[in-house]
Amino acid sequence: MATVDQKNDNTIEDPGTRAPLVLGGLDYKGVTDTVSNVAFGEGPPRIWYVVLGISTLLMGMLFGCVGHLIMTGVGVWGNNNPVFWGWPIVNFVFWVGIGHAGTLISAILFLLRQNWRTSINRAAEAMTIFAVVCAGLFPGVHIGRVWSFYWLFPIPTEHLAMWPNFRSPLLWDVFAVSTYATVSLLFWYMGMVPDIATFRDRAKNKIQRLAYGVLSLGWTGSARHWHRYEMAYVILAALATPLVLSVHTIVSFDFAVSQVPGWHTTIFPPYFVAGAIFSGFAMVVTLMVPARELFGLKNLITSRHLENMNKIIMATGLMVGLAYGIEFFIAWYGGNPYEQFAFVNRAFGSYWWAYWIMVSCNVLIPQLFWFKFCRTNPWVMVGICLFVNVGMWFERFVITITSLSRDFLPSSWAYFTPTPIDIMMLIGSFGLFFTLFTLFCRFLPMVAMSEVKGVLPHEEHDEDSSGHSEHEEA
Amino acid sequence: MIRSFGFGAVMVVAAILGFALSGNYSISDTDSHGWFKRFLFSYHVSFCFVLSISVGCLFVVLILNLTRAGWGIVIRRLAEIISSVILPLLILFLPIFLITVFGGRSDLGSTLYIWNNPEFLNSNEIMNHKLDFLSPGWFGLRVLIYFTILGMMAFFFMGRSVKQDDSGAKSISTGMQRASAPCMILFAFTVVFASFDLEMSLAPRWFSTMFPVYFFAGATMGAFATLILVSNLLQNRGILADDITEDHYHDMAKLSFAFVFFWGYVAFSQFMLIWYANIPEETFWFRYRLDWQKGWAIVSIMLLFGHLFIPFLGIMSRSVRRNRQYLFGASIFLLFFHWLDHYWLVMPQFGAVTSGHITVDSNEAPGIMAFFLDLILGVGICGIYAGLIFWRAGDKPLIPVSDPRLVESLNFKNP
Amino acid sequence: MAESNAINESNTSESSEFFGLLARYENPDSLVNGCHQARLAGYTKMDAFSPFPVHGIDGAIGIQKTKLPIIVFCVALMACGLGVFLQFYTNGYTNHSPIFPGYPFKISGKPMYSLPANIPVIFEVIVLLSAFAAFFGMWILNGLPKLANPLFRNQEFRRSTSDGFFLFIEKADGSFSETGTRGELQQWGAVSVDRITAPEDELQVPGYAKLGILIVASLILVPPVVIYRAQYTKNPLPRMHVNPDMDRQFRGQTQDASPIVNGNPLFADDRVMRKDPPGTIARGELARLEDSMFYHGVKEGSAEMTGDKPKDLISHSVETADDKEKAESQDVELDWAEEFPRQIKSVLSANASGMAIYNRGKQRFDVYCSACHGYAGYGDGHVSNRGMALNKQQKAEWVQAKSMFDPKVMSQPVGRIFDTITNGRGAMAPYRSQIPAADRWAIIVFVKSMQISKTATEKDVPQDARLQRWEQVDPLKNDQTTPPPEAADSEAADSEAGQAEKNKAEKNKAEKNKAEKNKAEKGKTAESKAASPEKSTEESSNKEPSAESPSGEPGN
Repeated sequence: MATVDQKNDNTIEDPGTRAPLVLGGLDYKGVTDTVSNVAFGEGPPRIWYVVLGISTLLMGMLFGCVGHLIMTGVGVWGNNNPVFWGWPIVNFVFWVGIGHAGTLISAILFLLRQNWRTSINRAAEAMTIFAVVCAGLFPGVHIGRVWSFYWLFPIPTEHLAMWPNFRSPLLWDVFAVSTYATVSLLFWYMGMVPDIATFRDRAKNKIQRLAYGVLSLGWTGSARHWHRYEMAYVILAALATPLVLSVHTIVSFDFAVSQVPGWHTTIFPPYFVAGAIFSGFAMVVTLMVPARELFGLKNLITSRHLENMNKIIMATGLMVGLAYGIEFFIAWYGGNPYEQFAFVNRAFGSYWWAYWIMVSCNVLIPQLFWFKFCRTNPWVMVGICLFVNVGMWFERFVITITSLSRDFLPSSWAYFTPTPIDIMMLIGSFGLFFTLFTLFCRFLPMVAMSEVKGVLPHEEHDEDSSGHSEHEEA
Repeated sequence: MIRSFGFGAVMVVAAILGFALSGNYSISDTDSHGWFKRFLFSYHVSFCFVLSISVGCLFVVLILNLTRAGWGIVIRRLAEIISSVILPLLILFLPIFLITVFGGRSDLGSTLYIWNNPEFLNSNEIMNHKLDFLSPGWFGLRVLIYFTILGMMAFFFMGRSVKQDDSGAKSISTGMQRASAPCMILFAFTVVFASFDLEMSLAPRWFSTMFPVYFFAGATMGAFATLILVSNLLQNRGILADDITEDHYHDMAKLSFAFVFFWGYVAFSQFMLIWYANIPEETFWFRYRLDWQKGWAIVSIMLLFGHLFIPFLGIMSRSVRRNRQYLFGASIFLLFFHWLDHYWLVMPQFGAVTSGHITVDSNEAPGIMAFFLDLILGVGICGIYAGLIFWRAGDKPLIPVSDPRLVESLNFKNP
Repeated sequence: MAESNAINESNTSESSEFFGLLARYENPDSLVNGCHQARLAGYTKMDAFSPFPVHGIDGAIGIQKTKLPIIVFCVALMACGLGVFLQFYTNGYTNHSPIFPGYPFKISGKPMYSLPANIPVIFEVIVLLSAFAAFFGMWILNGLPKLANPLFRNQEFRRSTSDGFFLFIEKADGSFSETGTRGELQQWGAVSVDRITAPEDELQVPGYAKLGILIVASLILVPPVVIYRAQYTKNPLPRMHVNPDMDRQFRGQTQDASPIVNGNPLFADDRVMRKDPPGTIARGELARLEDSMFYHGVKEGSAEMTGDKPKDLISHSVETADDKEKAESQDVELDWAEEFPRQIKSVLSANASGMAIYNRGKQRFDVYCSACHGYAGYGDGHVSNRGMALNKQQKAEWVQAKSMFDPKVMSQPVGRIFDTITNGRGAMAPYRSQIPAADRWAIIVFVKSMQISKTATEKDVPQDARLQRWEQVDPLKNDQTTPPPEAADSEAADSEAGQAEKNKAEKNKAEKNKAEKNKAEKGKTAESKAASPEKSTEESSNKEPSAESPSGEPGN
């Protein structure tokens, strides 16, 4: 029977029955033990220390660069006339894009009743927050006089008579990204409280008990609490869904409200959002495949989860590809010679290599996911997802730099070259990201235990089981 | 079926007579066939409206298959039937097709599409490079391709689904899911270019990459509103009374809500970017849609409230989403504004001036009388559309009776 | 009775307090069943505990629907108002408020208050505050954080966050009796039933925790206090420069001396500002060489233009007094264009755009020419009149501005007039940098139509237009003109000035209205009305209503 097959390989689809989301016959206690084992087991595998060590070093390099930049000025970057938005903005958009998958999984897939999201949403949300931290760093130091950062916010002053300019898309960005970071943090933390309570109840020493005890806010799992908690979760999901759309929409406004050829095109908002989901999911897969191997979570984060994510990667990749096509078509159809030049220049100008890296990584390589083998083999999917991440970085590079380096005034045309500081800061931002993520894996519940338990079939009880064990699948 | 055809035909004839008798709609002296032009624009509005609903339903079919959704099996057949009239809708497109393709680059040929007007082309240098793209022959061929692709896709899914009614083979479900992925890509490409050709090229100098998304967002919202309406009408007659429960209404209402919001998002983004960048070659399109003196701004404001704010607040609450009678009214409301959305896209182009590269003028928004005629025509076309749907429905079961996920769908409880 | 029983039972530990009974169930369904039974038995003060939200327990235990959505909705509405107000207050109007004043400024041509540009921030404020309301509202309604809870003393209860399903019935419940309730709980399927007690002293917040909270709270207050104080410090020292590189940059200031590199000035002439290389032409200006008709008013292919560059194109041509005199004395008559260049002609031939270019010309004439030449072109503008008055007092030597109706001017070809505007003549300065070529031609269209109006007789006006002419003169009718959309975009800033002839009152009024749109044609008189664009007098007066009046007044 098909159902028997599904117990071992839950990527097999049998219409009419829903494949199990958790393998290995795990029950409630089994789920708790599997996840708690990461924090309270016999210590992390050696590779964990290696990764943490390298990332910490890279993070140190990042902070060194930031210090150098603050002392010297933003001239240490390669940004110069006419490319005033160089790598820092590329990195910013790249990281913000990565930061979209978490909220997408926890909010949008929640509203769409995609129960498979429960195994991966926690780690994805954590990844979101860390990515937004990395993203915020770049525009944060790009303002030059970092110590005046509070001018970005409408703080009343008695003498200066100054307010931020609310008609500027860059200010919308400040509001969007900071709102997104705050709401994602609340959402993440709120979802984690019941699981931190689980850790509290299994803590082995006093420090753990105190830390987890305070963080869990005295959560007991009372039905009355759950009732309000679930309502708050729905509301936060409903708020986070348009929020997650708005963030990359507003980032795209930064570009698209201008008149720079190649930037001003109305499809930018949905196109940026699709690209963000695309890169975010690729990053989730890149992180989850090794994490589930190292921490023994294969029964919770199953092949089916990975396959579903890969399908979403393929779908959003195709959307991005379609948007590339529409942009090209309208550049021709609209008849604006500058616009036409901008697009021809992208593909065949001096940055042709960046453009074709982008197209092959974002559109061509993900097509391998049409094959089930590629969707389910961990090595292949990580490989493809790394390509996608590279491609999405280059997409932002292509949009930002090719358009700026060849805009209206040929006398100002110039070829952009990054400085070593640019490159070191990009690498260092990965260090910051991985440092935070490795620490998270070790010390916080990596899988949303309470949510996984909520979608486990009631194996001990027959009554009403058909009504309870429905799982919507993507 | 015969009744709705008859009703539709009567209404259409009444509208034609109304336009013919109600006076002179010509916007300049060279227009000798003013009322006919006015009629054709109105006809195009309603045609695009019904077409978009079918296209939206095709999307619903595809996405339900693609995501192996369980809840929506009971409404999938309705969506299949509505989408399968895309090819028969060519009959309704015939007047426009014949005039545009066989009228050629002439006064007659440009009754609807101004890019067929030689005077317009001569005075607009910017049109030179797209002369071949927006030419009668090419346009006709492309439209035929769109209809064929979308229509064949709808027939395919309908056919497989009906076949499963007899055999109940699970492989059919798997096969439909497999097919839906490439079909989705084909669908996306087709809808993109169809929306460019059918509606965006009415203002041939204007362009917006967001336009297909706008069309799609409205179409999908219209599709869900139609599904709510159709299920309601059927249940009022006791058909499918136990199969479609308030949980299904809840989901359809949620999805309508989602697409109301998505439409608002797309519409706002499109407006915002054009408004902010303030490039004349784009702003003129919005400029006369936001013209208070000519009245189009009122239509825009109506859309803002009727297509976004009112439904946003109106179908936000859970209890409302589970109330069938309420949703009946809400779906009619949504469909009216979806129609008005197409009206807003198409009708201001009626007054586009054919010559001169400085002025692009639009006519005034219609008075009560003309708007009433437009509505009558719309109702008439909906009547014919309903007739086509009844004809396609034939005696097929209205739910996929042997679908392996049907049980799950029937027992579905919305959390 | 139940009360005393409970107290007796709790004597086991001297200083501890008894709270109630905790029953454990095997799985979610038996928990729901147990709750349901308890509720039927009349218990109200009870709570269920589970590691995840159990489906159906709300009804079983009798939980009221939470008010959280309403709270969030209200906060969202308030946030919407706050978002609108914040942006209106800070950017939307000239804000001279004594407390938190503003300094309004215009950015990228957007209005001071523009709703579309404010929507993103309004949206973010709504989401942020609603999320706060949902998050903090939930915890407050739940009475959390509450770090001490007697249930935590029960070892078994730890399973409530893993795989245990519990029902707790409080001692305070009316139907509670320890033995009876225990029996009932077991009867409803409980696996085990425990007493919940806790030592009384443990329920107090320990002193060191209070102290800690106090210290943290006071530390949090330090930064705001420091910032507040800093606002009033009168420190004479200059600001700290963290990154001095940004203050001292390697670049020259305008009008500065050349920077010194390796002991030598970077530029030999010791100037920072560089002249354009000789013979360079700005981008987009090449057309001026090729289209002599449009840009110079000289016939195509005329010999004078083909050899050298026209003088207005030579960049940075420094004109000495000698040069200027020479230029004036030479004042060659070139092969002037007799008719309008094709770009203008094609526009004039169409009715609507023809009127548009006429209106544009009139408006530009009012702006640039009328000061000297007068609104009606008699050479009696304010400046000229003043100059003539000074002449009489022997205080100036002013040459009267040319009348447009001077026979010499009347006979000039259009190209010659174009050259006059472009390069100036006599005392008249060149206007090429102020008025783009297309506008210069538009002015000529207007001038020519004024000239025609001088010699025209009533016979030149077609019959139907004559009737209409009287209609238009009717002062009660406010004939408004909207500029065509595309042209209007560029004009929005310097909108049309009112046109009035020889009528000072009207003129003043028009100047007041300068910034206002749609007031263009207010003081139209018969004379200017009859002056329609050349060649197409008949057509244009025919078409005027449809082209000009958007309100659609019936003209025919």
